[in-house]
Amino acid sequence: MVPGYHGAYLKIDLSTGESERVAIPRDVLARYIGGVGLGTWICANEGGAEHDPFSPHAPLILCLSPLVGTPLTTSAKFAVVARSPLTGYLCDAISSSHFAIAAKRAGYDAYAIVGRARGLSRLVVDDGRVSVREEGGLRGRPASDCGLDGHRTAAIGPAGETRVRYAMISNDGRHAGRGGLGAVMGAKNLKAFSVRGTKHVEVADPKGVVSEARRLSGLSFGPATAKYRELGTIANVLAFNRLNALPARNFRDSSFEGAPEVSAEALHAMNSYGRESCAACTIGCEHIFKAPGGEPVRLEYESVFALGPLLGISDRGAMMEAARRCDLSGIDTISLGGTLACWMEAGRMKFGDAAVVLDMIERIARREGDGDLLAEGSRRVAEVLGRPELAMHVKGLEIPGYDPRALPAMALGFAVGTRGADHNRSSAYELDFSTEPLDVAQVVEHENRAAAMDSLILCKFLRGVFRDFAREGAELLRLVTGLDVDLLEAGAAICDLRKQFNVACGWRREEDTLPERLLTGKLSRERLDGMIADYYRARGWSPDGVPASADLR
Amino acid sequence: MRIELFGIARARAGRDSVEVEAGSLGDAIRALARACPGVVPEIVADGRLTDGYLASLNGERFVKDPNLMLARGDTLLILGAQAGG
Repeated sequence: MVPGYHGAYLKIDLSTGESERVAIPRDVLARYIGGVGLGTWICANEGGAEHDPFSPHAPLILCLSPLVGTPLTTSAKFAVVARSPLTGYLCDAISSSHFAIAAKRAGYDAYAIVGRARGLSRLVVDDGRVSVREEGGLRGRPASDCGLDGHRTAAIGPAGETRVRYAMISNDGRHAGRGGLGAVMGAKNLKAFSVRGTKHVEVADPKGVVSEARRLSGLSFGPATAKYRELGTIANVLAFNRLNALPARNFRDSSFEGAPEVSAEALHAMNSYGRESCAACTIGCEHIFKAPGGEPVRLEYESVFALGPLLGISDRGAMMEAARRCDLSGIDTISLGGTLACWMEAGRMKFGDAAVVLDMIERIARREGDGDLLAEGSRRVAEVLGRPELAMHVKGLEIPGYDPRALPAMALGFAVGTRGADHNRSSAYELDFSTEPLDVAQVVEHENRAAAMDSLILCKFLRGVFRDFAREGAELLRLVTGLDVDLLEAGAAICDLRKQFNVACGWRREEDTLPERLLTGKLSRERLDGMIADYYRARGWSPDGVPASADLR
Repeated sequence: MRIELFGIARARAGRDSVEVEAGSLGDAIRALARACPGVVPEIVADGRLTDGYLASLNGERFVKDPNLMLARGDTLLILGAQAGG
């Protein structure tokens, strides 16, 4: 047994209630580590690329990592991996906190869920013992109402039940947000997954782990994380607005006159409620604000962007209430905003009409009236309206709050992202915030690093404390598992595997692109295609973007 | 010239902008430290921006050469380099 791991995943068939322990080879653990890497391997191993996302045969993977359960700060995380009903391609999402620790103690490194329960159900894994229980009484309830005493629970809201294509899976107030994984869970009639356990795993060097945990915790209180601790990610609003990189009104504009109203400064001054942190986290990046009705709502930059400037809304109270309703419904705010912005520009709603937005969130969750079409996401909406040019997406995933016209590294990351337009899997804007000209090889290295972090798993908000993440991260992994892994090579292998998964799903070269509206000025199509060609070459892929290595199984 | 501050830099300075007299980038950063002592040493140390902070010239490009000469109407934006949001 490799320290840090149980050495197996549990495959559960909801159709039959049966389960089996599937051993994970040591070389797979060393190559893909955990989190998104191992989760993608398991998804491929279970035929994830072969089935429609809503098919009973489609696997839904919840994958932990060797660092879960250790005292290393920000390590309480897990990945959810499946084929996305929004894009048709691989979706890997990260969520955090107590569920990760409980799921690891329940006895496995990952859970592969297949089949479809007869009625709306709860899956329970209790120290490895599996049961599937009818939970019809939870129909229509938010995920936060779906707890089970003594357990930690990941659940879906009403949007997951109705298979809204951008429904989330939620746990402990956090979300595996993008790509519609909540709809995959809903298609299995799975309302909630509850876990409990007592099975600890040994680490290779317990004293070394404790020593590193103390060092990292100390560093996590320093200037590299000040933004997250003191202001939150919403600090981005005014900065990006000033740089003309804050998309507004369906990406028609790159700044928003109402930005000060929905800024971090305004929110902290007028609506502050508190601050929280994930389990095992010393940073504490969650800033909670008071919505108009007095209820607490957690706000991140992406939600403020998507429910504010993207929709032309500067009413702070309405924006917060929209975020709260998205959380209760179990809907990804970025995709909701992108879909409604498309609808607005098509003339079906007015930009800035907050009251209609609030009403529409619940109609989408119930698939009622226009909500039924809107639940399909912006790409499908725009196709039905005969206005495909109005959908701001890549591969069907709505673009997050960074204007690619101002940020070329981010533009490339969005275009080639395996889960679609993605600010987390790419280099983010680190490389755009530089005095150096864009180097595509560095974009690749940043992606590899991100893949490694998402597989270890450590929070990316911690990355500023590392002087040399490849070396220091590898040392953390060695202390926990005894494995000597080149993290950047592992990251590259994970990126290759993701791409192979998408190739198996039918990915075509022309899907690595950006909407026509964004290909203007310095970001011409020719420039983007040139960067993409350089990216494929730097990855050792064919000129058509196909990896030579990595069998899908 | 005008220096605008964002995020943690704004919080430490206690203001969102300051007007300074400066011929070069280095002069401007040192003037910022004098006008807003709260930015020292987290944002400005030894007359330079610390590793976690960047200067954007007129919102168009990032700059770091302390000898870069600035024009009269230029604006410097001081931003955190921490990605994530």
